Amino acid sequence: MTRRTLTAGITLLEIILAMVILTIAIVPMLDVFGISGRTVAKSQNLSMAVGLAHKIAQHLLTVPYDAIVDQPETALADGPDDGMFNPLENPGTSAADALKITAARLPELHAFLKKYNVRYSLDVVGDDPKDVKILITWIEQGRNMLYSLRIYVSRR
Amino acid sequence: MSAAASHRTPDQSRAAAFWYKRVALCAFSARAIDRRGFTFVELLIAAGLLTLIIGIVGQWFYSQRQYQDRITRLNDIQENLRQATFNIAKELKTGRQVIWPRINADLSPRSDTVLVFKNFRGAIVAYYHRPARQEIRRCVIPNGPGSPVEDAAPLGKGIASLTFTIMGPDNKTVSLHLTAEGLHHLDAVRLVNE
Repeated sequence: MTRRTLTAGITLLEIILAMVILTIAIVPMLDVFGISGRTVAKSQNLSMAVGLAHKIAQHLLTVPYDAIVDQPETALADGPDDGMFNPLENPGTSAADALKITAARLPELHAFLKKYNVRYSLDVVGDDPKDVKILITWIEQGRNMLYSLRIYVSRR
Repeated sequence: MSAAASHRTPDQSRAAAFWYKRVALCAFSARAIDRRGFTFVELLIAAGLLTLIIGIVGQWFYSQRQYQDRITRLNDIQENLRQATFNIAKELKTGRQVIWPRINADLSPRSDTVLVFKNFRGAIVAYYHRPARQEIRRCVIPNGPGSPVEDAAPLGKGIASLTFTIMGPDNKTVSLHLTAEGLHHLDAVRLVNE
């Protein structure tokens, strides 16, 4: 009997084992795709939070100085009338036409804000100037996320 | 060498070696002696399994590829939204006065897709959205004789909708709401120039 005969061919078991090992090796590498996707989703939410915080900061310049006080966490979707996010827009000529962030009036934006439970709050310290911390919070993949913007407002 | 082996004749030794080799081969690779390479059935099953795995992985890879394209696109859209907001805010925050839209008579906010304001040089500037091209354009109306001049380059590209909302009793806070392919960007600009 020659050596060539002894080593010829691969058994089915060997092929299956090779495939299983290959699969085990490749699957974790494919997870890289998912990671990059989640990173972009994170940056999307962060970008939104930066815009919201900036919007609040600009709005604080219009409200009376004494009205700048602590504000508890407030949801943007279906939130109360705060003059910043509710109402958000008004294509009409009276307050009755104003659009609030609700499922009926602004469905896409409402769905996004509801999905991530986006909220804002104000933490005000001091008197003149007031040290205002604007906090934007949201929930992303079960984790509480936070963006904070600190501004100083002086009596005008 | 054992005592029994030392008393074997040459014929007996050859026979012993033959049977030893035969038994060893049977023990280690009985199949290898009987068969050379694949059988047709093995080949069929292996090809079938390979096709199945390639099919599953290929489909998964294709869907991931599409997902990656979408993610890249979303990234670009986010950048467009940020860039457009920055370009608008850059000039608007130093503006003197918003001409259109104006807050309603009952002091409620008012929205439009066009914003007209007087910039810090005194020129009247209009920002407006072109839905067909998904662009934000800027146009300068000279403060005196002359024709309005539209900028060659748009302020923002790939923007599906843009709403300017004037808020506050002094008509100096402009709220921005930009959308592009399901993404939203909210911001506001306060005119600081008195």
